[in-house]
Amino acid sequence: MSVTASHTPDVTIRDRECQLWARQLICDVKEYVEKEEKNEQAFVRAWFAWKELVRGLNLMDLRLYREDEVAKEEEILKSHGTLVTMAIHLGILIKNKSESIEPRVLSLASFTNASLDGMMHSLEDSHADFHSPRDSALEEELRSLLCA
Amino acid sequence: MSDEEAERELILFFEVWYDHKRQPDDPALYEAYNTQLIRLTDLLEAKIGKKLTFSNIRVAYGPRFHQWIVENKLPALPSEPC
Repeated sequence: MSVTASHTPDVTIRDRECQLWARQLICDVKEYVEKEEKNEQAFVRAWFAWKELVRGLNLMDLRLYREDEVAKEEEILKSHGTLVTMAIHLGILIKNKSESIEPRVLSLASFTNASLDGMMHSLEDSHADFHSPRDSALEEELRSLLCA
Repeated sequence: MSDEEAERELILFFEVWYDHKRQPDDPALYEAYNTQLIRLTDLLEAKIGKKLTFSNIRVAYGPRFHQWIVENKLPALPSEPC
């Protein structure tokens, strides 16, 4: 692993605050990425804000994986679905916008298509896991297979 | 493959899954995660005799993944935004 196990375990989040934070980031990314003119500074801001957004959504994922019965968390789940869908949409916009940005600027911002694709995969996984039909019987069978 | 070996493969998957979740913009970590997920899927399909999706595996072992994070005293993310 890339980290050492030296931190206090803390996988809880304050869901409402996190959702508000994520929504504000979405507004920021939208504002930056939807500017009409070729604005490299706006693109870089959008890229960094979007990366923060994806990391925050990954934190929400960890919260959701914790729940055996995710359906209990309907409100959180609904909000999570909206945020993930918007983040995927913004990721596509950022990718499109990146094609008109100078390579030097992309490099300075540590933007690569591979990085963006990795984050998009993370969002797509999240959407598939929490917002697609589930096969509870199969999941239970899998759990019983490796139940240590 | 024995259950013990399968268990080890699952823990290996947790390690690369955790790294990818923490640093989703790192292509090498994504590649490691994807490779191990394919490996684990093949292994579990052979044991269970059914076709599985990646999502089936993540959702089924999600609670154990969470438990593993706590047991190993790992932080949720490098800098928690919330």
